[in-house]
Amino acid sequence: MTVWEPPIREYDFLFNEVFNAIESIEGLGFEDFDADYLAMLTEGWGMHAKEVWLPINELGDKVGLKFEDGNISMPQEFKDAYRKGIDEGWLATACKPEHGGMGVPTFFSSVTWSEFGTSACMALSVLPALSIGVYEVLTSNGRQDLVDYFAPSLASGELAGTMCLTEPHAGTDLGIITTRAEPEDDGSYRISGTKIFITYGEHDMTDNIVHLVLAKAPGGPEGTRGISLFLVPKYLPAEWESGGVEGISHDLVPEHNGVTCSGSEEKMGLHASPTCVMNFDDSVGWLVGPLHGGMPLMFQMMNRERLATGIMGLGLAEIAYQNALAWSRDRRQGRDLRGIRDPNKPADNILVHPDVRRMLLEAKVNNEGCRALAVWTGILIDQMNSDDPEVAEPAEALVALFTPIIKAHFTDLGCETCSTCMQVMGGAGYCSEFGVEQFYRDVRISKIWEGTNGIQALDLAGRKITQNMGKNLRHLMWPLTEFIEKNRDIPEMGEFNKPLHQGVRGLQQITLLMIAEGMANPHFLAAGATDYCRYFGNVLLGYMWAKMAKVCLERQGEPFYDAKLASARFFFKRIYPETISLAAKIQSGPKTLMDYPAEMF
Amino acid sequence: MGIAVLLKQVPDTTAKISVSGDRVDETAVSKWSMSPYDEYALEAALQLKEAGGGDIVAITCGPIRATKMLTDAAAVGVDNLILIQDEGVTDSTHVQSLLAAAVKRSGSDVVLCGKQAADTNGGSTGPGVSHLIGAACVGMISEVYAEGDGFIALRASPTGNERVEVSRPCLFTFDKGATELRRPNVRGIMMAKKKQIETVTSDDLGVAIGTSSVSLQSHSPPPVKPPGQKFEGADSVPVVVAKLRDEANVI
Ligand SMILES: Cc1cc2nc3c(=O)[nH]c(=O)nc-3n(C[C@H](O)[C@H](O)[C@H](O)COP(=O)(O)OP(=O)(O)OC[C@H]3O[C@@H](n4cnc5c(N)ncnc54)[C@H](O)[C@@H]3O)c2cc1C
Repeated sequence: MTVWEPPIREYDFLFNEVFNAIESIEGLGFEDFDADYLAMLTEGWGMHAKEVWLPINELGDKVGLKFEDGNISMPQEFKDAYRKGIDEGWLATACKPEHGGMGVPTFFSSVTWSEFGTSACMALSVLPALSIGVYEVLTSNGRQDLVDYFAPSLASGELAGTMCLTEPHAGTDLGIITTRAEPEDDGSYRISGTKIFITYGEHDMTDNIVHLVLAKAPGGPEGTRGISLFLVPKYLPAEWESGGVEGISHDLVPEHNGVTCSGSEEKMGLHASPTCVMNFDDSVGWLVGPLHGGMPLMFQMMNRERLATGIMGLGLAEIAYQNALAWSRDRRQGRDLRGIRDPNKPADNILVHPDVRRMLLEAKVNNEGCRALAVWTGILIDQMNSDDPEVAEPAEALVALFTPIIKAHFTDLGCETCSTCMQVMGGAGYCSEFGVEQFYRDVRISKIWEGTNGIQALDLAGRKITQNMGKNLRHLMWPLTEFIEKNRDIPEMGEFNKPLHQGVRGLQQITLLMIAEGMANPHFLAAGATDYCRYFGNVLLGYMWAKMAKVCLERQGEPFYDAKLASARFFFKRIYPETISLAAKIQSGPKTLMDYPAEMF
Repeated sequence: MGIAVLLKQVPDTTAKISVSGDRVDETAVSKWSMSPYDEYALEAALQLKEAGGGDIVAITCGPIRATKMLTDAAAVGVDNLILIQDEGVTDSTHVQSLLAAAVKRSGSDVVLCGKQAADTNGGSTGPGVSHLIGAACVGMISEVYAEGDGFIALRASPTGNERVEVSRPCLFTFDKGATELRRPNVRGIMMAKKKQIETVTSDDLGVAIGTSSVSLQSHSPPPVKPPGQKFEGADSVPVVVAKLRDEANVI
């Protein structure tokens, strides 16, 4: 039996005490949104996730889905839970009110929503997450008739969406996809090709599925600049004959639109999330956005998607931590090395052992740091829409910088934390009964999809740092150095502020090194990218911990704040110092990697 | 049909309670919630409304922090919210007079509440209010539905299940039932936020709160529980039996 309580107090602390989330989005079109509303949403969604989603998570893993004759059937419990999500309105929080959504800020819809959803049932949470992704691309770039026809049902969850990028020979390298789109006289297209690894490509949770397909239309340039986006439904509207979908009814034809599923992968985890081979055979589709202009649209949506993917790491790390903690509170083994604690018992509780505490604290402290950075980033994504360039410009720069770090560092930590939490529980952790081994298997994909973590690191080191003449980094350094300066003379802040300052200086030096050496030899940059990304991640989490410590110093005496200060100390003493070894690895350059003879691997 | 539901905000059953002096330290309560039996009353009120229409008014007597609970009630579908500022009233007869006055003013002809509050466990509110408003009181029920001009209530009794028929006006107190409580949905939360809470005082209700006719004479904490004893092996059976008989007086 797994346990999980939504970390509501943590969000309350971050929203209201650390970041003033409500004030930060003033004037951005969220006029109805206040602290009480946010608290009710957080509690309400936590309750829904706990009561409806959590109970089906293990069942999804054990029973999984069934693939037969091109159809995938989901466990009935999943269909019921999904239906409750629709009925209670929880799938549409991110969507605009004009489409029946709630239009709530990103720091709720992509952060809190994603964390609770993935903790409670990651396999289910990816379905609405994908639909929202399709919704976003469609509503910000799509033709009006397509928006009117598809957006409301995507928002409510009645219609499911997928993202069809990957092909058998084209994963990371999307420039070489071969799926074709042939234009018709009526303005629609006919799509043909094979896509693989398509999450929820086929299922029976909804009556229809709409695929956002990356394909190449004739006349475009080679590579990614020749990619266009197409909306391709599994079933066409019954009244559709040609052209668009303006004003036609939502009845469907019974025959599929040339869209078939020829298999679903057996895989390590996420057993209740279909991973499909999808074939498009002369399927009717409609262009979304400009012809040959698909990639920039995908990038627009990526900030949110990658933030949400990073949070999958956090969500599973959080539930793994809660279960490891619950288990360890009852477990007695060995004695405290400094003297027996419970003489009446055959052994002491394992929390007396420094090594067990190390593991639990690494998990807890990284989770809390990540959550803080996620909330901040959620706020920044909303601020990107501000009319005031003084707000929008730094927000855009920071989001560009943070996105690959959040995706890669959070999911790396997520995997490590699930492993550590399993370790806390000894043999019980490896056995299915306590759930953590499922979380460990489920979380692993988060490092791979939405662009592998290696690619994220290259995006950071190779693009985001140098983009706009280094402007992104400057927008981070300004508030960071200001924070460090402000706290320099506050003695209680010294233990947090000094290491933060050192880390920031180190980051500046390493960044210069990466750019300088990287110009002469791109392998230098590529060889150090993953370590650089992790270094950067640690500095950002350091900033978050120093910021939280600042708030807590003023409220000392209450257990919640005292514990946060203790966590901040743990972070700076026992996690952050890995920056030193990371710096050494980065400085060593590509030589030991590239000199190794390829034939000797 | 006017339906009134009486709600009380109490420390959450999972919240840590600390005692300061001889009272629970309210400032240290980490989480306040709707008293669990009241939740069943609220659910029943919502079902009555769904079946036969009408307006639900939720009434609480308590401090400002209780507005949160009223908003939570609005999120699941309550129409009107009334907070009676308690002005430090601790006497249960005073609370009953205030609630009764608010019920009368609302014109409700059926009142639902929990059989007791989870903090004080007094159990006097329902019967007390029913007396003051001149309504029949059916206690400890688990289900209610309208039939004709009156209501049918179901409750467990020591000898089986009872079906009680009662005419209006009436008041029901609720025990924990098998009904699944509803969760707030997003739209409900949005509507709840916009809902006004009417705050009234004893003056507004025309209730004179005199000095209390009861006063707490003394208070002593419960005796510290002696530590448990552990016995192992079959040899200890006679000792355990003797202790159960002579010390614990249970056999
Ligand atoms: C369960 C699951 C669900 C998925 N869902 C979807 C989905 O819904 N839609 C969809 O379109 N796709 C989906 N995918 C595909 C996923 O996004 C890809 O697997 C991922 O992008 C990696 O591509 P690949 O598997 O082809 O690996 P490859 O691209 O072959 O990469 C292999 C290795 O080489 C590295 N590498 C590749 N190129 C470079 C480079 N230029 N520089 C440095 N290193 C490089 C990678 O980091 C990786 O370590 C899913 C995959 C899985 C397993």
